[in-house]
Amino acid sequence: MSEIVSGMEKTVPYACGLVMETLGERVVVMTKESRIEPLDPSRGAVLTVFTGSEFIERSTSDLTPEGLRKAARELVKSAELAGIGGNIRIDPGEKMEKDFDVKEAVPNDSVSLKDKVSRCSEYMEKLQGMDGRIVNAVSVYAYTRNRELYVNRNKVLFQDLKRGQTVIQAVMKDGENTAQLHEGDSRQGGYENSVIPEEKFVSLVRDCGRILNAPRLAPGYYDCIFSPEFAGITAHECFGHGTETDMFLKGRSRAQEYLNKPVGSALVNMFDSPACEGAAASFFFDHEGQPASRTQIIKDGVLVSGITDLNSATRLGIQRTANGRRESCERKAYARMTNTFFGPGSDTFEEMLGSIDFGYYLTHPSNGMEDPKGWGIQLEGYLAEEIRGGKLTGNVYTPVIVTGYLPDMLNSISMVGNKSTLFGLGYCGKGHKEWVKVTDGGPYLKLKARLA
Amino acid sequence: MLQYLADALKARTDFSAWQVMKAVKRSHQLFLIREETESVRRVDTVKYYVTVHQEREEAGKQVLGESSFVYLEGDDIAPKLDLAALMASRVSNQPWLLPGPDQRYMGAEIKDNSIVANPDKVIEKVKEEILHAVGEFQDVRLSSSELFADYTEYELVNSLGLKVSSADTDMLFDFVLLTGEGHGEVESSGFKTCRFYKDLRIGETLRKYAQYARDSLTAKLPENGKADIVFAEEALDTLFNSFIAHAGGSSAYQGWSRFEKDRPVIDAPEGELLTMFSNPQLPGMMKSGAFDDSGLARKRVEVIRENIFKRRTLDKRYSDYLGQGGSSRIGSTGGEATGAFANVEVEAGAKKMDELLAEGTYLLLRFSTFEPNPVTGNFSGEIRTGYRIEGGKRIPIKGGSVSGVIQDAFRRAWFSSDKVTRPAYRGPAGIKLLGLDLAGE
Repeated sequence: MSEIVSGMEKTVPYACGLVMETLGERVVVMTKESRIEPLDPSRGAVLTVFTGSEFIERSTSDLTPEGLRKAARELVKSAELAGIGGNIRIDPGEKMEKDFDVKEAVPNDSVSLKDKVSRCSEYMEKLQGMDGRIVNAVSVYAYTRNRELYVNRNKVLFQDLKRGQTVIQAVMKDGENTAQLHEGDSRQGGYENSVIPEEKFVSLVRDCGRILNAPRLAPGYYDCIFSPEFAGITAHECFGHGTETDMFLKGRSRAQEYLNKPVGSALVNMFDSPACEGAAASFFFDHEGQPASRTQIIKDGVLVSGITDLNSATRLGIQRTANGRRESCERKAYARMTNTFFGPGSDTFEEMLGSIDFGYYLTHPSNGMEDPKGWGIQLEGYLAEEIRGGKLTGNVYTPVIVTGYLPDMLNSISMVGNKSTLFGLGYCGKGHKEWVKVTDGGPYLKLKARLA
Repeated sequence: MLQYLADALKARTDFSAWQVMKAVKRSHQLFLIREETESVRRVDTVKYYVTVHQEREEAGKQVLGESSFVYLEGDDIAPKLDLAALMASRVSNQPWLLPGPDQRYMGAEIKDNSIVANPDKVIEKVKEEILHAVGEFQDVRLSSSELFADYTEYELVNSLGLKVSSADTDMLFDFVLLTGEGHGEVESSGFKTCRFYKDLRIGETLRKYAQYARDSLTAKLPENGKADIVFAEEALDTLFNSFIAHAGGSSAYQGWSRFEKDRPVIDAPEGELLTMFSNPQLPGMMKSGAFDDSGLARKRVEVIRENIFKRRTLDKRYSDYLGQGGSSRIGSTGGEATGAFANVEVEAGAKKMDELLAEGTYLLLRFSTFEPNPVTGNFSGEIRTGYRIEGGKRIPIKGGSVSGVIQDAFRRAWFSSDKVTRPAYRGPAGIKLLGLDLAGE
């Protein structure tokens, strides 16, 4: 690959290469059927050249030396046809040659398929037996291995990323009403991540049963406590997408105008970090060769940084962060989130609860959508529990939708929990496509929000 | 290579059945930031999707072990087959048979020869059309756009002698327009997929979304309360998600489908009655195609006739599981199997769109996200583009949300007589649902 890159740079001002391979397996055991399959493998190379004004890329699944050389020749020819020139210079970064590896406490390969299936079957049967209204119990174990080689004139980097994921899901039916809920987690490492704690089974079955016949709540503007999971999706949708700096370049983000200005209460601190040890969306370098590091996005309520890909950082003249990511070789790199979270404060859940006369506690988020230009926000979840007189009443409502204007929501944050937790099951799209692994999280948050 | 894989599978005595599907894909991609090219990409991939079956007896009962994997050129096939055999040996599903060779395929045209012959030229032409259309706007600017022109060839063989091939093209056009100035600047984003270049209709599409951007400048929050809503345009793409899930095979097999044959799908309807088809034979539509990923011939199915559930959409697995497979030990014609739900085709109603848009009604076209829960039918969406009908005029609204439960909301439904064709939907241009919850001011 180094030869190919240097060969291309005889003609173009900048070139690089990335080889990606995704391998893994998935065991799915349901009440009446099961699946055990290798993950759909993705393997290929993407060669990139920069002409001085635009990027041209060629992706191929043919990884033979001749296949790669042919792709490089065609790519250089395309660059010549497009025209080489322009005054934009790509910084290849500092010299670096290194291999990185995620360690597995219990290597996935050391566990037999029989044992993996047994554990999933045990979890499925356990879940199925916990409530007679469960019509479909699902247990999933998945193991993903990403091997990536990045080469430019200064860098030869290799990383071997491994992560395990477990999920349990229940579908309950009672007459005409149905409900579904899931629990689980994903972390870097191996089979040690296949364990689901007892309390997650209990809370899943309890909460799925509670929402099965639950009504919707009356729309309105309420005092709320967001669970750490709900705080996570809020961080992701609020100022995650809005600070992806390719959105700055496209004029699509209002955040660009607010750099170094307050965007929320002084209690708000927010980060994106692919360097969180063990977190499912961590890596050692991004798909454009930038070494992983933590970025503080909001500091004490002030927006202080965006998260960048190579193109936007170069054109905007701002510092690179390790956020240039691709769905696969078949897709372009964009500025993307990794592990995105609110930092902790000093309050406890009980203190927050005690401070609310009437409101709702929101948990089990399902999805959200960004609006970086208009700063509108939409979050959805499965469960809102009523709070009256500083106590949870047990009255629950489903589903719950949160909408509003982002600065209003962030400014309304009046208490922040003292522990921040990451949740590993997330994936994130850019608009309607480009799915990458992410996590998000935070502490409990007390705020005001418009619910429906 | 396909023959090589087929020979390797035939040589194994531990598989009772197998299938290989080859997919050769070529993608040409263009990315613009404002009017400048950010990136040009070409992607070539070849993948072989292999499925193996391993029927065996377990505790006196016939069970099916099964597994699938993707073979990439350069892989060693022997260890992949060994792993597939191991994985299949740990699965004990109810048996089902792969489709046999006696399929009667009904094709639909889903390939644009101009994309096959010269994708670069098509991309260049679309780029010119984008720049021309945007150049005519005085007050609306292009933020960014992405164009994909993909061509994929499929070839499928299985152990029962089935051999079938097809090819299709896809175009994707993703764009963002901006209007207004400073803090008042707003965006309007669109995402369009189609099979044929001609269906992109770049100028018309950009003019429509430019108007949405302009309307967004003056849009207000809707009022809190109950409201009559007409869903149209993008909202129609996902409105029927829950019907599709409950009409399918997995929901019935897993025990959570609400639908029973010859029973109403909506209790006590007070409006017009829903008639809905699954149709894989509509030319140029995204869910059209002669066969599914098992090679089964896909069929047009009347799923719901005037609120009565008539027939499930079943792939071969669930058709066999639910006892409708037409299977025999020497092969399977597919019997009642239809393929999974294809394009949604809904019968039109009696009233014109204009009649549905009565005073006080809201017309909602686009949401931040609108994905009714397939299992529960719960839905909610933050409004991106909508209008309230006041004094016969359309007053722009934005923000706030509409929510409800599909099976309750369709009790009072009216379908427009005007029809529209979208990427995977053909039916009424507007569907009016009464008394939904709006959260706004």
